[in-house]
Amino acid sequence: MAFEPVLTKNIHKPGSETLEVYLQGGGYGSLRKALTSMTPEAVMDEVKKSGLRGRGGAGFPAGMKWSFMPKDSAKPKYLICNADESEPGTFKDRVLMEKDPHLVLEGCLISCYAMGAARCFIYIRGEYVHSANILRRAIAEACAKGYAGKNILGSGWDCELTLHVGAGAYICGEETALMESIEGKRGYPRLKPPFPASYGVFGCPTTINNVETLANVPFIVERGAAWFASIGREKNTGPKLYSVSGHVKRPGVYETAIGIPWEELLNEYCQGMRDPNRPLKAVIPGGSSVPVMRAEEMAGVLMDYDGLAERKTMLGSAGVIVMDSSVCMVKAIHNLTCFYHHESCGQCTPCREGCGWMEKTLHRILAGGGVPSDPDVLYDVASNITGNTICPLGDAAAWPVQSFVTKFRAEFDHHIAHKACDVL
Amino acid sequence: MKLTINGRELEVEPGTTVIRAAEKAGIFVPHYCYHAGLSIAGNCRMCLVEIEKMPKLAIACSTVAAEGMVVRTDSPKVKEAQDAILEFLLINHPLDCPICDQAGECRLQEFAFQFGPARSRFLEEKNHGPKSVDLGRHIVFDSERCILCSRCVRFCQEVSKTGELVISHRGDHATIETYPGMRLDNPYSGNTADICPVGALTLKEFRFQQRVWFLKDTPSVCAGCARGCNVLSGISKGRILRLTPRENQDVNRWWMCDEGRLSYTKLYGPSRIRWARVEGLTGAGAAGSLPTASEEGPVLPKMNEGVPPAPHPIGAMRPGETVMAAGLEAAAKALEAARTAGRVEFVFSPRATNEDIYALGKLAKELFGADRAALPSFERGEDDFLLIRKDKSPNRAGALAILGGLGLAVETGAELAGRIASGAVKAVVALGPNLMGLETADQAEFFEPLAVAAQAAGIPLVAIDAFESPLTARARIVLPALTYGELEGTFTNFEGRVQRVRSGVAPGADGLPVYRIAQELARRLGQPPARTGAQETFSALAAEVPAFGGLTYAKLGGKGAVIA
Repeated sequence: MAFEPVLTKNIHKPGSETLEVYLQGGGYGSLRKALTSMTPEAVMDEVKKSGLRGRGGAGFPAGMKWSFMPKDSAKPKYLICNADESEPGTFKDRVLMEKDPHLVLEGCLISCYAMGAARCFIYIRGEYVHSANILRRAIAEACAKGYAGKNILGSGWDCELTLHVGAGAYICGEETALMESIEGKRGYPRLKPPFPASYGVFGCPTTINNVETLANVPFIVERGAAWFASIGREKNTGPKLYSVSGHVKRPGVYETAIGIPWEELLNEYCQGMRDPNRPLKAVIPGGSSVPVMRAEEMAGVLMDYDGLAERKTMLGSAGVIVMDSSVCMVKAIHNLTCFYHHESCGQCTPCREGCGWMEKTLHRILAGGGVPSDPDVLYDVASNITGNTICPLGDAAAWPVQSFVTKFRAEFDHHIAHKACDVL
Repeated sequence: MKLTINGRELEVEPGTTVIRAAEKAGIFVPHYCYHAGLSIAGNCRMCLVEIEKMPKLAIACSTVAAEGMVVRTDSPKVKEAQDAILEFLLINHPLDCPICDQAGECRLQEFAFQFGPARSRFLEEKNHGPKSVDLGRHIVFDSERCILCSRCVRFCQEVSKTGELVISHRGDHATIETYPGMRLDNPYSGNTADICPVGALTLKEFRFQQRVWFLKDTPSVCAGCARGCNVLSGISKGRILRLTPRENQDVNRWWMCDEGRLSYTKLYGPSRIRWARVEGLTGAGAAGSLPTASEEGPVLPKMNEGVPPAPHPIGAMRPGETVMAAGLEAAAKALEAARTAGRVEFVFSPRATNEDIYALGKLAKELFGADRAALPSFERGEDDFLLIRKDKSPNRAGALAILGGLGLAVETGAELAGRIASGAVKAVVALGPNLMGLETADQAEFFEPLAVAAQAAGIPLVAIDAFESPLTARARIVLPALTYGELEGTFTNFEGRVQRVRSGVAPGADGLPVYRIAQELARRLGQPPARTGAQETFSALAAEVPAFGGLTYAKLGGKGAVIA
């Protein structure tokens, strides 16, 4: 518990969402530093050296992603800040947007400077009305005071910030569906290639980063890549927000050094399980789409990209869903599958048809109509989705089913054999 | 650039997609959403193939071939994916094949048979959705059959550029709809039914008419306008039941307009001229009675089996003589008399075949010394950006080339009417406006004054047509011509492309093709008998008219050839 907060250092200050309070804490100092004393290449270099990896889910090195942007482009270049935060179990970006919106904006602006982007679109999910209002006010304030818009801080450099509110579709968190949505089209993921760096929003070179990823950038500029890389371990660096939900005593958003041991996150930050008589049963460590873990599989795991990958799951969005022994895993996966069925965009065959099939089968099992072949068929249907879809959300819908069926097979079999749950 | 597909090394142009490369090599990769005439959607996932060094299967439709790429379209992994996709596509598909119009030409049926698993593991209730949705003038939509390949949506965006269709809702409840307040009423809407790989979009005019495997598809060209879209004529029950576009990149690509597509429907109306008739001759076959094979009356022609007999207007025929022969005889007599008294003039038609124009032109020139030819035009609307031409004649270019080649100067109907009024003309032979069963608003403008002038001058007007018109209403002698679907010949489209129009339907009248009528008249007027088919007539045309020099039916092939 010795970690000195970085990303969340301002959030408890009264009025933390205002420009005034942000400036009092040294806000926009990094932007000024970058604009006055660093070349765009130097900023990009610093981010590369920091080892910052994407906080949205895939964990791709941010600096490397930026370097895919063409140096010379006849078309304008864009940055998109992905504030769609729709992954079940994930609510970390919201804290940054509501409590420290100028940090997010400063991160967007510095990143635009590094990539030569003329505009940053901030795409926020429609349900985040409060966050959107705060961001909108923050953008207006920043523009009025010369931190965004034309001739930023007298440097002669222009950069516009555009808030785009989505209509509440999970699929619009997928980077290319998000771009379609910004363009005013139906949120359908695009075929790749071409990749966003060459053909992104409005057909222009585009980089898209998660809110938390961009919020790290001002600190990297301020304190240097070496400082950032000193947090965590090799290839897993920097501060990290974990949103913990479920059967813990204190659910919430916690900032720690990335790679905190699971037990420390659970027992020290979240103060352990909610009910001492109901021990830990399962954890979904990175938002609902990543493979579920049995309690014993979590033992000693480091909560970072590589630590969780070693255990055949993912850090994902670090939305940690904790389940105790009261949870029926068939009901739990039915719940998740309802979500994926509801949210499948329907563009490509496997996810469109497979999600509905899995939901119907799980519903039938819960209604007492299961047959012994159901778990195998469920696993097969999920396997037939994975790898065969246009976007990664097919995998996102299938992995939970695969992992639940595999790791909690007995519960499925029990439901089918006894037409009832063995969990009370 | 070289790549290997299923062990075969292929050379392709840079930028070629894997599906096209495979197609070139004769390797079929199953697909639903891919259509060569539309943008790449990549949504059906049916064309997944295995490519060495790629971690996942890739869709062949959007993957661009790279140097040294090694592709397998038949590996166990590919087979597994094909099974999976077909199983997915079928879980919510109604399997109402016995009453589905698409059955027999359904990609879902075909691929399930060829590539799919033999059984489904789906135990749940299928999704249900709207059936028989009236999308527009010609198209009905069944949402349950739809596999959301988006071909129709892309067609309306990219080809017809009208954009009426949209995918609404999400996931397995997604469906095709028109935008609020819009109907699928663009001039090319029928193509959406053609490109629909399943029975989701069907053409109202063909729905429930015939199982497609009973259709005999005859390659032909549309006669509806000067474009000459290549078509397949679907024939059954003794008539054309549908026209569908046949790919020809030089003419119509993959498409045709709705008006052309439905032009065949006008062929089976009541206005068909079934028998020859001669004014003033009424006898045993007068209205209400049928021609019979006896000393007293004319012969019922055998070629008309299956055609409802119409009242017969010609009496006083010799025993054994057909109605058509009697009509030809009467026409020849009238023309013989007129020839000795003065000039006989001819009206040609841009709706007649090249063979027809040529044979009639030869008759006019050689037996009547004609040096002029009246030629109407049938125009309506405007040329559009895609296929539709305002010239609603399939062969104006051919008519002009041939008449010019024969030295006949084209004149207008008014000019001819003026000369008739002046008394110099002693008879007129006129091809009518309705040889192909098509109608245009301006047909009366040309023919009515001509017919009135002939009547006023008291000269014989010999009309040759397939359907009644203002011309045939006033003609002294009417000779029935065969019409679209019944005749062989060629049309020359507005770009000079000569294409074959083919027969597949038994004649619906006691008539002859125009070129045969011309030959029969020539014989009766003293020329040596020349009973040649369309092909020989075309060869004679090619030998005489330089623009057609060197062309034969064999050289025209399925895609036609351009005249000089």
